[in-house]
Amino acid sequence: MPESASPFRLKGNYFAEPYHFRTDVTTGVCRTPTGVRICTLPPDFLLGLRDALIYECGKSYRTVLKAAGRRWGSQWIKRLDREWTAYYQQPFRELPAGLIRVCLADAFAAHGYGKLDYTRAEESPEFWSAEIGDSLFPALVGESDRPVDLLMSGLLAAIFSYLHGLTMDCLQTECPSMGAERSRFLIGPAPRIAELEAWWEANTPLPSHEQVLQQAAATSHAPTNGQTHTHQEHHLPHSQPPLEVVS
Amino acid sequence: MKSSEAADFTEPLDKPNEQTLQIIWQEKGEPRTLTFLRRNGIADGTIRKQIVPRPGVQPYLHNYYHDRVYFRHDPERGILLNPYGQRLMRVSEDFLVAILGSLEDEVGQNGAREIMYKCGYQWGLHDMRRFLPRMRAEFEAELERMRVDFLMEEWWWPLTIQGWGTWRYDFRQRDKGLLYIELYESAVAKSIGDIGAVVCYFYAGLFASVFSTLAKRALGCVEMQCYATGEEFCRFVVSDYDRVNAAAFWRNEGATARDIMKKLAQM
Repeated sequence: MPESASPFRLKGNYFAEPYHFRTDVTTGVCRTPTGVRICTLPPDFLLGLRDALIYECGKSYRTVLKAAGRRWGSQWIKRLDREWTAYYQQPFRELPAGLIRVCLADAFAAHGYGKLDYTRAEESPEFWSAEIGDSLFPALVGESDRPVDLLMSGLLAAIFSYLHGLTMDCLQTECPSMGAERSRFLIGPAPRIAELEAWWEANTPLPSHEQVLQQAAATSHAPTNGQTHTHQEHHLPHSQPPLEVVS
Repeated sequence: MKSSEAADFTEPLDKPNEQTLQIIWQEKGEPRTLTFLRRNGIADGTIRKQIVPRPGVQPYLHNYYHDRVYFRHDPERGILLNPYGQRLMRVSEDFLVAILGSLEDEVGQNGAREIMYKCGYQWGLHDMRRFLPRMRAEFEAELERMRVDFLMEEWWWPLTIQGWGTWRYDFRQRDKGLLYIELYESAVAKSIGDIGAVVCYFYAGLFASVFSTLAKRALGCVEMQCYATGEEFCRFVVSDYDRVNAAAFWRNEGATARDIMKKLAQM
């Protein structure tokens, strides 16, 4: 992680209420302070979208929904990068990884997507293990024999791809619609996730998150020398500049 | 009659039969959907023939369309609820653009339009299943005695606060079976911008299903003009399928909304 010359300034939650999302009821338009238009999706919209996709696309609805999440995520994270860079007066991707994690968790919470947390997989450092508590889609769908958090899978894949500067993909391994407590995801380089997904799909019953992690470690490739990531550590290193808290 | 007995799983998503639409009117609401709005000790839960004005504090809070009242955010859990206890999800305009782009990649432009229309249609049916029982409970009166314009305004207000724009409807040609709707600040068209083609298929499907439910017969809807074609606002017509198909044909041939409305009135 590149070191910053000047101390960065802690400014609290970017999405602090009640001022971030403002709706003008005379026009039916909601905007953020930077002028970005926000639309609130009711559950009926999401269920309608899922119904229509299943009806028209059959099983490939999963591909479409995940692709939509990825496409949306790649634009969303770019937009957030610009806003957070201006807010922290420092390139967002150069902020400490811990702060990036907090920013992303705040963004998910403020938009109603649930409680996001992620960490590098100890078993295989090329992967990240993420989870979303109280994720929306599984709460709407109810029971399913496959994970249903497809929008979030695509969204996380896009966000991690952007942060790492690599093409990353995301596999949802556990889902509340299948009886799990929360949605859990494995995020890693796209070819490796494709291998793991094929293995995961071929097993009955579907392997747990821990089993997928073990499989990832067992089939791990040696890291390439000189491979660079823009965002690797998930703990603040001791070499970080001192924090300056502003009121 | 139980819902499961009458459900027809082979019917097209955007052309439900009358039985399906009737069932929506018979849906029983969940009492907890009004928990946030109920004023305990005043609401007695009695459903009267029509709305009875009451002096003083009302049994239910009715005007809750403010950011701080409508959106109930729990930042610890990262969840957003409306006053009816439903989960909500905020998205930037990128989301609608992404949905359109992904659908076009997967099924082509025409397929994408059809899916968006059907999505809107299903959205409206899901919405009406919750809205009608909620109205009956919130205003403690039979739905059949409520004015349609009152129902319509009450239905749209949540969409206004959710950022879907504002609307105006025109029932003046209802005797001819024509209902016109003007939509301002369409979330879809404003997100996508001026691309020279109508894009508000979500809204068209939504209007079709909502008015089908109210009319208890399947109706269609087509967008005649759109912000995305350079107009100031979007305009839709809701009618039977013959007229809606004709309107779509004329629009594709380059007719303006005004021309289409004239031709429809003469059909």
